[in-house]
Amino acid sequence: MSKKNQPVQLPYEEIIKEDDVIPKEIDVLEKILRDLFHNCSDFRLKRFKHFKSNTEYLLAWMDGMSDKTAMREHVVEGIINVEKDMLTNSNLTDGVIPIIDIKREKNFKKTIDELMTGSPILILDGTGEAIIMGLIAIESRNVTESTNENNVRGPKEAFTETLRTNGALIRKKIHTPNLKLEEKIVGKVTKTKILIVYIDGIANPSIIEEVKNRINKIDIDSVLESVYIEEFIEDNKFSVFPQIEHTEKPDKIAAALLEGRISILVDGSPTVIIVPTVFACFLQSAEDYYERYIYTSFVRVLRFTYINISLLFPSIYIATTTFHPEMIPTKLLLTIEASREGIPFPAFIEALIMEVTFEVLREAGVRLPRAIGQTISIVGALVIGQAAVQAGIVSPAMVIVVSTTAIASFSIPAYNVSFALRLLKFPIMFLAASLGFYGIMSALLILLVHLCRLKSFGVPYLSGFAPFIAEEIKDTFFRGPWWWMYNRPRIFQPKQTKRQSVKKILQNAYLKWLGEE
Amino acid sequence: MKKKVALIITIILFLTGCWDKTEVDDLAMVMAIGIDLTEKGRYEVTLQVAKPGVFGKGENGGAKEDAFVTVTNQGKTVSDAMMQFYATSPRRVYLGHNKMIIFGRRLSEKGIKDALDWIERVEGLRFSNYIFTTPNTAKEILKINYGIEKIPALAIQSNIRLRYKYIAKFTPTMNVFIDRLMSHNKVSFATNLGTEQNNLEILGTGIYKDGRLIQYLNNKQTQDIMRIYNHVKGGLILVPCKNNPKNYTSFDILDEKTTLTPEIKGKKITFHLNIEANGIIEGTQCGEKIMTKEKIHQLEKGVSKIIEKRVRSMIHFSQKELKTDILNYAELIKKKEPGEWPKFEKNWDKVFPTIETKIVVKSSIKRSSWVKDPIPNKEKNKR
Amino acid sequence: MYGIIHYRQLIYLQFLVILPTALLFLPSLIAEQAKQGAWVSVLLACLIGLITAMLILWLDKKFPNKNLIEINEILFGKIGRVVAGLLITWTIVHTNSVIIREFSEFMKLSILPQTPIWMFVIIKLIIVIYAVHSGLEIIGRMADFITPIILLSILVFLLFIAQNADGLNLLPLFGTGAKGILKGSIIPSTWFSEIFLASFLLPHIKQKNKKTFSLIFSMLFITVVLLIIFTIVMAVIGVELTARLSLPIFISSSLGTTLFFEHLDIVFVSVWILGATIKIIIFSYLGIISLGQTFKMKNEKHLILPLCLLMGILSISLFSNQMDILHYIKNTFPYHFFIVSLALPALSLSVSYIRRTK
Repeated sequence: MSKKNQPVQLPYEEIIKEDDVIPKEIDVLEKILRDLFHNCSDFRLKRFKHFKSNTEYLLAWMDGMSDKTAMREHVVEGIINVEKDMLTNSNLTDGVIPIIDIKREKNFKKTIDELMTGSPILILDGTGEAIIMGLIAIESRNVTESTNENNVRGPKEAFTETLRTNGALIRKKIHTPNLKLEEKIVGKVTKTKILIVYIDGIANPSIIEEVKNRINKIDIDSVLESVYIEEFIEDNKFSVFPQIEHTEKPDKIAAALLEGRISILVDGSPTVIIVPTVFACFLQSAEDYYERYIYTSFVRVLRFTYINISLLFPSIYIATTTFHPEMIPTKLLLTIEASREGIPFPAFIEALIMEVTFEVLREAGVRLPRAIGQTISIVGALVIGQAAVQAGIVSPAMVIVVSTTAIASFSIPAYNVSFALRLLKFPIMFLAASLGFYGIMSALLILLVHLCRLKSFGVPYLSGFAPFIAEEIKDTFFRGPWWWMYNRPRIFQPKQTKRQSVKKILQNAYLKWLGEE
Repeated sequence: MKKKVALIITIILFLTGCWDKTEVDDLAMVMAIGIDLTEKGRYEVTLQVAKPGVFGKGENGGAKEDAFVTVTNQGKTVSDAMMQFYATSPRRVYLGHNKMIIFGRRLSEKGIKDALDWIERVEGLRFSNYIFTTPNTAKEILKINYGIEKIPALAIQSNIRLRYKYIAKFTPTMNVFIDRLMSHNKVSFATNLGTEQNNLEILGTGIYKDGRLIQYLNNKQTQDIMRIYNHVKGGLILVPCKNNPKNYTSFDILDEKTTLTPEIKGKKITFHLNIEANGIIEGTQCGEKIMTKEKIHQLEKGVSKIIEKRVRSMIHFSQKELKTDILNYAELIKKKEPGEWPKFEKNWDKVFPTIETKIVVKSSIKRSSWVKDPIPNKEKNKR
Repeated sequence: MYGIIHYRQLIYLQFLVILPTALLFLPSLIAEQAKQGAWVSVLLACLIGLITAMLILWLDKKFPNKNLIEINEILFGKIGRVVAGLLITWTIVHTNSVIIREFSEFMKLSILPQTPIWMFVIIKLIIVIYAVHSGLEIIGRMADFITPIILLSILVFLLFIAQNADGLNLLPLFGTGAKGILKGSIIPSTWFSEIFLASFLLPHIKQKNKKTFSLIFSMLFITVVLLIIFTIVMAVIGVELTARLSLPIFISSSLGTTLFFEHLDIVFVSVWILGATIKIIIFSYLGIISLGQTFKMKNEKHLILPLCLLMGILSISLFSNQMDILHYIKNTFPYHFFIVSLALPALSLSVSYIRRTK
């Protein structure tokens, strides 16, 4: 193996090899542990003595991660009362220590790994075997309301940073043993646990296999957020478009699982990713399904307009005013002409100035503390709205164009898609400024080829539109009523498609109207 | 490889010049074109150009200031004259929003085909332009400030669109004008614009035959000729009262339909002209009750008679006085009786004046508007 | 390079192969000869198209999942493959160069008069290379996305211009009579016989039992759409003007007055660009495939860049002006194209029957 391809190795892995067992003598063990955890102030190690049998034992834990009360009450006090001959590892795990989550382990490295997750370990002198107790008590955030994805109606809880809690939040919604939460560990140094969640029998097995394969191939030292996983497993790594959806709402995950999709939970991250994802997913918000379908269908149609506006509006303005003024109605054109009178920049530069200013303001507003953020928005409003126009740097028409674009880009439910669209806006603007509508159409065609090429775990990215699936109109262009969704979306190729057995609902409605029900 | 391709593409994209780029504020927006012929036979082109910056700034833009300028240049051909504009204008002369083209009298009489050819070919000019003619010069017409609208061309355009809806579709767009010129009889119409006390006035129609102006028609005649073309949408017909011919009942046409069908028996051509006019009574000076079945019938008959008389005199004018097929009879035979047409094609000019037209007018009064009868006269009250 | 396409996508591809340029150039070319009888000419042309489609389908039945070049190899051996392959490749490449040039000329005439021709060609080729490299499946998906947009736009466009229509313009129904109608049907037949390209697409269709349906349906569908458009355009601007103008549909699109927007021609051109680009992409793709098949290449992707470059150069250098192109389309193109689209399949079919090849 060349040096380049060698896996990440830390010093402790040289001391404790993969297959090392725990040394039998407790003195040796203590020395190794003390060396290993040199300078780790939160590491605690205490030797006890069982006076009835004169046996020494060792208790090690990480301070702040383990439940000390339980350790004293159940472990130390429990051992004191053990008779002389009864002090064996098997007895201890089989009932002497009143803890449910308890196991024995001979492998040294695995023991250390367990210790690092917060489980205290207990080792009897001379046994060479550790007892691992699941007395983990790590402080963590409670389940709270979702802050990034707000909704009026529907569940409001959001994932937290704790993997087990997150798993439970999903389990809470889908009560079936077929809901599988497969655990994997990724990250050489961080040893992050991730869960691959799917419903056995609904999700497509080949896609599950593909997900596992791709995750197994990841070779990185750390995984601190789900985006690490996302960037490793997405199909096209050079695209601006997000190919994997993410959310912090358990209800959204549950819905996705029921559509036959697979979600991946990463320990320490409240953001959960869902695969496979198609473009249409980014236009659906969770609340679409909790509101009445007629209104939501209207919103869906609006969203298509927003997408086009946020991608194309400045470009169309540039193209029409500089290349095809005959398109604009005469009186409007005369007004625009009057408003542009005296503006020194060409429309393209004007748009660029405004768009960049807007992007900067947005970025500043997101990162700054709330108190300063308000100042920024006031200054921004003055800069964009008032001063630029009065100073004669930007025309009022351009202000309208840019602000409309900005509003439109914010109305897309998935903000990572609106990032992509806002980014693509610039090259399209450039093409519009050099070739007018021909430039815009060329850019759109290239974009279309790109989008048609994209795939997410074998699912074409534009599924529903291209290839067009007539059945899916009810969940792409519109939001069909729940009683109409007989099947799971075919887009995600679920193993089992049927959702409801009731059909003929329209027919029944007609019969009811006739009074022949 | 991928990087190189990307690089090349980027370079190409960034090196693209902007060959066709013009900012809006670099345009001189031409709203109307007038084409005249000078006495020396040179083309004189007048452009009505919207003055930049007057629109939009309602409050402080000078209210008294004209929102347009007219510029004139001469040349050997129309494009030659246009070239002078291109050469001297600080802004790009832009024809994309041009609304109308006006031909001056001298040019019209000499023939407008050469000018039309330029109009068809020139870049940016749309086929939706209206065609006008004038007994004065086009230059004079374009200089008049119309008052209500800031730009006269827009005022005329709106006026024409209203007329389309309420009176008759009688101002041709470019495509209609040219299409008519290419028909067998080569007759086309253009609306006649005139001036009166520094105000615009629509005088009627100018008839072009093979590109030359041959006759002016007044507004009434225009209505009649358009009636034959089935373009009339409305209009007023005054029916003299029985008791006093100096008083009138006004009949307002709401919709009208004309069908014109040729009938050929051997060498004899007969045209059947059926006119159906529906309308309301807009006022009566007769001072008697009109809402009786008899009176209405009488009135309808009167209207029909007047329409028939007018149309007949129009046909007579065309056949006997002008001796030109301005009624589109040739095209109609060509279209509806294609088998018979070759018989007449060669000596059409001789055949045309002999054609008999049978006119049937059916007019009906649908409503009498808000009131049934007029306010009774005093004498009758005394009774 | 290959992939599997849905039969609906095949219909769309046929639609996009024939319609965009037919829409633009045919009204004038047919009206010139047939006058008001243009609709009969279109129907006659449709007949030629149907005959071509039948030939292709017949061949496909006799040699399942084989394209025209492979069939010729079975019938005539290696020489047959190379000769037929080169003939087809040259026809496709040459026609494609003409299309690219027509496209660029139209762009120049209609929206960007100052921009040089090579600019249009280069940008078009970039898109073509990207799309062709992606393969048939992606092209099929693009067609899937674009066709509904085009159909919808055509509908809206027709609604807007139809208010100016005058039914009298369509009389007399048979125009200049049989001679003119026959003459007028030659050029549209070329367009319709472009359906022979389906021979290369049929092996990749997913629903094998829908082959006949998709070809015949696409033929009829295109005919109906063209007929409606021709009729309305002629009714709006008159037959004489249709025949005189070089691009009547573009002119008529500028006539529609709507509630707000005055000239729809730019919108029309924009939508047209979408369709025409797909047409160019399909032609380029098929040119590359057929050249690859001729020499039995394992990876046709090597051919993309050189062939696209060739088409670009040809499109710029073949003609010196607009008149040249029109002259070529009127006088040479039909006969040139019929050799490959009609004669070659007919020959293959008859030889296969004479020899009783299985």
